[in-house]
Amino acid sequence: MNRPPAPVRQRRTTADDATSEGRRRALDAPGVAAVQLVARSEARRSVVSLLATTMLVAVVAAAALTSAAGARRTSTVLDRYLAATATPDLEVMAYWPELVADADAMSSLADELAALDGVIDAVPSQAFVTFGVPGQSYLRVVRTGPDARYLDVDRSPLVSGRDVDPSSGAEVVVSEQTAASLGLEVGDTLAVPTPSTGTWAAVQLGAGDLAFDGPTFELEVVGIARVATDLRTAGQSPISYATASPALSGRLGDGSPTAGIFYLRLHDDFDIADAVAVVVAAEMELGGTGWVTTETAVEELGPVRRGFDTLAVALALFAGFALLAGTFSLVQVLSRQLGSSRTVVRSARELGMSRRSTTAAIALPALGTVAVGTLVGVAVAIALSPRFPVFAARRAEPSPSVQIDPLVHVGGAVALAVGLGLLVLWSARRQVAKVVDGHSARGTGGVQSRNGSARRSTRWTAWLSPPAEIGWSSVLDGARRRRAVTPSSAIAGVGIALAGVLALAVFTASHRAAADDPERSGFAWDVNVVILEDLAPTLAALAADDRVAATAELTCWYSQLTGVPAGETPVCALVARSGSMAPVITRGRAPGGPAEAALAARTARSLGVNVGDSVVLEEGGRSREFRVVGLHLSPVAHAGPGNGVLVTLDGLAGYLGATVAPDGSLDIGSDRRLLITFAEGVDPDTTRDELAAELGAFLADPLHDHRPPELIALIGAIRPILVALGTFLAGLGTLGLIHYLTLSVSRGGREAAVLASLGFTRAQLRAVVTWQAAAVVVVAVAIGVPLGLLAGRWTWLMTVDDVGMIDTPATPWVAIGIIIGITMVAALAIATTFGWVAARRPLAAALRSE
Amino acid sequence: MTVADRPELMDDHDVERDRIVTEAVLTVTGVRRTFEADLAPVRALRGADLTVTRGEFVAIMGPSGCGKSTLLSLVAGLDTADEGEIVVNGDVITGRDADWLAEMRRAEIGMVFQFFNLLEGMTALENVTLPALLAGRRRRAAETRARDLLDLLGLGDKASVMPATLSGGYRQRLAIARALANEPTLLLADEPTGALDSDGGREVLELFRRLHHDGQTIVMVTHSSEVAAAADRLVRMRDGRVVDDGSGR
Ligand SMILES: Nc1ncnc2c1ncn2[C@@H]1O[C@H](COP(=O)(O)OP(=O)(O)O)[C@@H](O)[C@H]1O
Ligand SMILES: [Mg+2]
Repeated sequence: MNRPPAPVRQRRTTADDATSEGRRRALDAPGVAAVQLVARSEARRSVVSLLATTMLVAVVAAAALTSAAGARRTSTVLDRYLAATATPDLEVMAYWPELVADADAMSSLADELAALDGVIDAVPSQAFVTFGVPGQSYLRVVRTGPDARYLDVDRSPLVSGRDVDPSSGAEVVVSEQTAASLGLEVGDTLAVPTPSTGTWAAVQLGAGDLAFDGPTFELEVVGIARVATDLRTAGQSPISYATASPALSGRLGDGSPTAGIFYLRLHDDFDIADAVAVVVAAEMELGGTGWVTTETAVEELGPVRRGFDTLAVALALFAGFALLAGTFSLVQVLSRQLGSSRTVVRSARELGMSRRSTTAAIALPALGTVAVGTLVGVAVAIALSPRFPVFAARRAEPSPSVQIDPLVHVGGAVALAVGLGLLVLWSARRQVAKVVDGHSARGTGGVQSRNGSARRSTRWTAWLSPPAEIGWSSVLDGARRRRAVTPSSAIAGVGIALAGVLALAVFTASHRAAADDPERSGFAWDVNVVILEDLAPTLAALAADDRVAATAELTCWYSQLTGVPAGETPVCALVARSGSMAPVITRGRAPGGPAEAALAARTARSLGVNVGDSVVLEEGGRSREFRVVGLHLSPVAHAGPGNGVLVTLDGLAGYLGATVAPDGSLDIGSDRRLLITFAEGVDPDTTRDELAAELGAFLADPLHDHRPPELIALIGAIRPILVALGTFLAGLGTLGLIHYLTLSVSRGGREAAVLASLGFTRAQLRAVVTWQAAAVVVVAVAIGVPLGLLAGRWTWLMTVDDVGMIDTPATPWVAIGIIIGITMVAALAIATTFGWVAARRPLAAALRSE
Repeated sequence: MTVADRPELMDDHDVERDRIVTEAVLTVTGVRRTFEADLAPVRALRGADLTVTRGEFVAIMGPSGCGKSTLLSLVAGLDTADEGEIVVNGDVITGRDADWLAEMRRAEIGMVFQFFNLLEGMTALENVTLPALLAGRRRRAAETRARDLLDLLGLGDKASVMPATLSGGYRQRLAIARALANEPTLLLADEPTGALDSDGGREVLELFRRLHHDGQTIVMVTHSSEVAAAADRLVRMRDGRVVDDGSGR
């Protein structure tokens, strides 16, 4: 039979509940005060190390937030520049004089273009395109036109001077690169020779040669502007730009503008061919040939965008690294900080403080450091924001001022603070658990194993002086045994910082070696020029010249090979003309017969072949089988050393179905270049200029300089970021060591006093700390150096894997020695400071109680 | 094993004991020490006087806070007196610099604390070897001496054990062995039984008596009259002064 529970008992239960609830609540209010009290005393006790922690949080937050915001600012800078300057998406150029000179025809054609689906607007402009100005082999474009709207398109920011006066026909604003290459300054005069209308029409129809028989305009340079192509870092643009006022088009007289330019802004899905068709039709209608060229911002600014993107990625990586390394050392520092609260945890527990309150009490000071540090970091990041974008990308920034990036400066900062806060709480909980549960565990068992591990025989440190022995064993034992202040985190911090710095040193040294030695990217010569005409006399002169060691002809066909992704693969033959000049072979040998080929690394990888295999080169209708006899570095700069096929001239002719003329040229339009290697001991720059003066201007053409592969050039541009990363890592390591010594000195006061009571002098007490730091650094060096060297080599090889150049990593022994030396000296200097403090504290007080 | 079984450890003292039984190895004259504290300065010693002759076993008693520990610290040179003079084994130690005091401690002073103050990172043997090394002994000699001491104090089988694994009584015995490493003129003990259970305390006192019997001069602070009874002279302190030096003069 079920009896209902006795009412008395039930009442008693209720009363009990109320009482315990009430008691708990009563305990909670003073609990908060107690937490505050303990927290405050803990903060006071370790004020120096808390300051160091705050600084570390601030440094990490500043580094991560600054570079993350910088990366975002860099990644958007080109688009912001393009928007600010109203750079058109597409330029369509027409050359038929009847059209170009007819303002009405141009204007209605622009309307027609604007009416096309996908075109936002179209603005006409006239341009003087002048070629072959003596001494200059590049194109020059001067914009003008009766329709002044072009001034609102492509309105590049001025770097000096002013805009053209619309009513003056004699003024011009030139691009930075134009000013630099022509040596122009504001106030100088730019001469623009033009062909006459008749001459230009004849050239178009193939009925005459180009001559500058029209008027030559003398234009005053009133300003210098930064046009989009000025943003390029690697390699010059072959075209220089200038803008004149509409009034210039009224001064034409007998001359003719040589091109009409239509500036188009487009929706994404527009097909360029549609615009071209419209312009071609207009030209044809006026009796022209339909010669039309186009230029897109995407294409033109491709290298610029790639460069900026590389910068942004480097900054993002920096931010990631900073966050990773920073969090790592913060984890160490914070857990060390909390670990040093062990005695407080024990007494707080003994006084009846709850687990949660104890956790809160020891976590509070650390949470304070996180909050303050993050705030300081955000302030620094915002203050540094006008310094971004950096390097080349800085030139594109339309509004270089303080900028708050809500995502990074607010969102990122909050995320960082919350993450670190959780880390602190977790670590504090673990610390409390360790003390609380550790107590009970000690009572229950494990005595035997403890005894076993506690026994040990005399070690090598026994042969050191007493201070050295104590310093070393505090580090070596501390790493194994649980100590309030463990050295393992300091060792890891210093070791990883050192490894990082060394890895960067290896990486940059490898990069420098690769960038400084053109041969490693396939350039085995000093001069490389396009052959435009029969060079027999020049070749003979060069063969007899003492300054010249060798000459060769490089004949290339740019092939869209099946199986090789995007882009053209140069298929080349190198034929020595005088002396001996060989391509750079990295494996096997150069091709010796018409059925042999050497491949560049990337091409070989794409085709999936190796030395000894056969490969079928296919493109469109052609196909020919070669035996791969070696790997080489492609000698064609713009393709990169990893892309290319080297064959004999007969092999090339066979592949192309062409025949070889007696002068070595193919009867199919191939790219022929003259390669010259200077004799030993000749200064390449002066010799080059001398030869240019003797043999013709084409030798001075800067376009055909050998330059390192794009990736190598880009890495060169981000080297300051790598240096900053190295500095940051070194700073982290230093702060880690300082924090370790701060805590171990402040918490190791009793041990020092015990040593003093045994008769240690102050010098010996200092030596203990110094040896302790030395031990940390020695162990860190032992771990960090091999790690850093391996990491640096690996990173370098991974980074340039795809370039296909000779990527042998360098080992900068001197720099490594200096870095290790600086680490040692810095550690000893820091340790000396702390040792001084440690040796000077009052002794009696430290020995008093437990 | 007892001291009696190890005549080589006893020789020196035994010979000297009869000859210089009245020689003062410690004189403290008019010593004052004031600590700056948050509220008001604490006058821990206000003119303390004390003389200890060679071979004596002196117990100092007094209420908590009367300056007993401060006095021992001053004698050991771990703290410096504001006024007065302290002479240890013929040398005036007041007014000396820190390094002179450190060297003095090596030669003349052995200290035993309530909470042992062992070096937790070192084995028992290393704890005892260290002071001997500091005093300039060769490592082998220092270790031999340390082993002898551990044997003497019944810790022979604990040489390679870490202090943390020892019980309180053993820890204090180890601390005493360490204090004796350099055959100190003065063995200073500050409440050596204060943190021990009664068995441990008794063992330690027994040890002190044996050492005293072998001629060791001992100054022991305690607040227990039971412990003090082990000594052959009782000094009483109050309010920073010695109020009864127990010599019956
Ligand atoms: N380093 C110090 N700073 C401030 N006050 C101290 C210091 N050392 C001791 N005192 C004070 O001096 C007085 C005597 O202390 P102490 O010699 O330890 O007494 P005892 O050992 O007799 O209990 C006490 O009031 C103590 O608080
Ligand atoms: Mg005391």
